[in-house]
Amino acid sequence: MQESRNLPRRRKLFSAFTLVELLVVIAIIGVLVALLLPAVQAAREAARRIQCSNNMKNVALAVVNYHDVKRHLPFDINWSTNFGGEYYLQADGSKDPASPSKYVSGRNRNGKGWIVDILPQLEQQAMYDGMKLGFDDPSKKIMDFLARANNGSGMGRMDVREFMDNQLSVLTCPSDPSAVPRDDMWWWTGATVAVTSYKGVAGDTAVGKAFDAGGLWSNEDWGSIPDRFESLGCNGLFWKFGYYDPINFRQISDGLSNTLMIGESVVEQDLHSMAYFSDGDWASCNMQLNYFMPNLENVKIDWYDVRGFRSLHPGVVQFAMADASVQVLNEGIDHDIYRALSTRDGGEVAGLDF
Amino acid sequence: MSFTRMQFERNSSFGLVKLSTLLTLLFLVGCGGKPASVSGVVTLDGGPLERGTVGFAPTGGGMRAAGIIQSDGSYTLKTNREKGLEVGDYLVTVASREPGAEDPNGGPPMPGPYITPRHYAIAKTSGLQFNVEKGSNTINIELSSEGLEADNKSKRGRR
Repeated sequence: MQESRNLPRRRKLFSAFTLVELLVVIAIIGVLVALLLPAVQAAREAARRIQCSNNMKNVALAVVNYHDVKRHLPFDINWSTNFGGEYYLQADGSKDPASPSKYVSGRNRNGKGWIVDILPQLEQQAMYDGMKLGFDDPSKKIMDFLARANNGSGMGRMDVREFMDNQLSVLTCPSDPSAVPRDDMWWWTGATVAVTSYKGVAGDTAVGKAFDAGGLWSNEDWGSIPDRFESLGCNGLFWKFGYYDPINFRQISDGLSNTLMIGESVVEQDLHSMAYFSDGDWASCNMQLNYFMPNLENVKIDWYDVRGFRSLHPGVVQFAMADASVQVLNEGIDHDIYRALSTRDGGEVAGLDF
Repeated sequence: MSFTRMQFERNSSFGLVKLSTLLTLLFLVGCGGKPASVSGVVTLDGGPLERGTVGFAPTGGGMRAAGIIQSDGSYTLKTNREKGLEVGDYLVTVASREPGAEDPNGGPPMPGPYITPRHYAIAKTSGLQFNVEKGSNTINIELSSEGLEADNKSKRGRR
């Protein structure tokens, strides 16, 4: 009886928190969360980076497996080219005309990207077969590329469009929220198409030099000349020469482990990112690694300033080397070393152990 | 008695809140990157430029900073994704072009005629050098259109 009468008094003394005590507790929790949250976010980003590197590894292995079968690297087919009038520009300025391509005939500028070649190696045989009419249709003579919202030819023809917005997760960097099917890719305006976070290294060609762009990186301080608009002579592994002479591993005299093959990009920063198209799957090392256009709206105007490699992983960009190993390059890398790594036969003494 | 305890507790909790705010602020400041920031206005023959790109390349090598010129001529520099840049001497480039014509097949536009003379676009020939000090810098860049006509005659956008 006495106990039950005492109980309310005791509760009054000990069982309630004052407002101040609660505030203190909340403040302490706040401090702890403030300390912990960045760590959690960093751990999540690290996990995404590992997943991204795993994607790159798979793409690089697919390229190596393709090479084992075909004895050359997968290649792009240009969408607009002057067959018979194309040449390799020599160091002394002379022109060496290209011999006729084994792979592409006069009216077959279909725009097939190199990623299409390795779809079977990425376990997407059905997709490859479905796309095949876009670049290999025996009944059609004219296969020049065109892609508008409601009509097209070559890789843009309507009966292969159902495959063109198929966003493969192996081509998608999990840290890039803009890597989703988009309708603002160059040459595909109005059509919703899949994009790629991983692009072939064209070398250090000075993008924009041929048309005197005056861009940040469009001169010999930053890249090699000629650039791909003018001649076939890219010094990397992918892009323009490919439909004449696809590169094979024997030509990579700088060494497979010292030559960049595939690198990362951020889709909204470079609208040349259509996954299965030859003007969406390559980039150049003539620009500062990890350069981001300060204003997103300028990506459409100064597009020649952003055809490089970059990533949303803090401070680094990942590359698959030609031996299919995945390496992490710091964004502060010396530009000359970066350029040297991007060329296949420059003869530079450059390795990753700098 | 109970009043003084309340007072004491309130004070200590305020102290804690202050301390935690301070810690959080310190933490955030600790994450902030580059030691210098640069902004300013780019003018051509005295009038503000309306478009274009500014590039700051360190004379001794290192990462280049860049900024986009706004319609009032102002620019602010970033180094890749980070605001600001390192302290030091910089060779500065400015390139400004008229917007190019839209490509009928949905391709990227070739840049239009030069607004600023071409030599400003290359570090070696721009003749623009500035020193960037710690903290915030205002660097106004004054350009002259001398030589512009010849630049636009000699080379035009081609594919």
